[in-house]
Amino acid sequence: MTLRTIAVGVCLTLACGALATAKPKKKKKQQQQQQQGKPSKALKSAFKELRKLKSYRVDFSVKGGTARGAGHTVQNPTVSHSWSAQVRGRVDNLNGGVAFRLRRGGQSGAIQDGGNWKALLATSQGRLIGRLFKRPEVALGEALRHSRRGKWLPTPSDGQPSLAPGTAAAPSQGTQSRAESKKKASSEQNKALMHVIRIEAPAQEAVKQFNRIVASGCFSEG
Amino acid sequence: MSRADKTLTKQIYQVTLDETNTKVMTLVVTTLCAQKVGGGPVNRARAFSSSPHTAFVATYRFSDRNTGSRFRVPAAAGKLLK
Repeated sequence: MTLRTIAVGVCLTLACGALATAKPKKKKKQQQQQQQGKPSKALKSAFKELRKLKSYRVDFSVKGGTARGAGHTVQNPTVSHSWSAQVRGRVDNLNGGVAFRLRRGGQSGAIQDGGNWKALLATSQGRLIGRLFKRPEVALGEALRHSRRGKWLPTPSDGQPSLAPGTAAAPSQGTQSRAESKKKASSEQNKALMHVIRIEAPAQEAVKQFNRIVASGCFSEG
Repeated sequence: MSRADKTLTKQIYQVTLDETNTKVMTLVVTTLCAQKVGGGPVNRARAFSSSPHTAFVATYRFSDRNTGSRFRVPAAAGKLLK
């Protein structure tokens, strides 16, 4: 009976010790999460902000082909296109007036073809734009649909936040106490946090997107 | 010869927000599809790392928020935007 009590006591002491050592790590993680909030919430507010904009510019590029390595770098791209769009009100102006399409409207659009205006999907160039260059708000909306699976990308060196280029906190000088300067440096670091969300969509989404790319005819374009 | 294996696919969205977490700066959509090489089975563990695979990387960069100038849509093009 006494032995059992001692054993229980030892176990409790060990467990308490383990909890005590785990606390700061947990607290740090909690603080970081509170600071950044839920990825889905942040993405939702960013999506709303984009939809509310009267105008914005988007530069789009797509590269495709065989890749090797976990970085998915396409070495010899089979597909490589880039377009820019000036979005204003309800209309997207593509490549400085070469094509137009509705900001939030199905597949309708117009493209210049030999001096005539044709439906976007009636020409091979238009099909490429229509299938590959998804409307930014649609693409972001799709990301938002799966945002529950979203995660903040871990910062390098475990706990040390990654700084945006050229924003490293300068070392303190003069009369400032060490604690004060440390506090200042950490707040500067927090401001300069890179806020990147990674969302992995379900496999069926990838198949849909892949079929869409194939339907664009970009493979036959070479 | 290699061909796409649509039974093994992945789609990843990577969104970069500004420091206030309220504006999208870039959106990268990566679509991956495993490749069957020489008719053999695909190694699922290495399909998207050391094995060759098909990758499509679409990048959107956002800028000039609410600063763009007006543009005119030609009448003929406008008719097609219904």
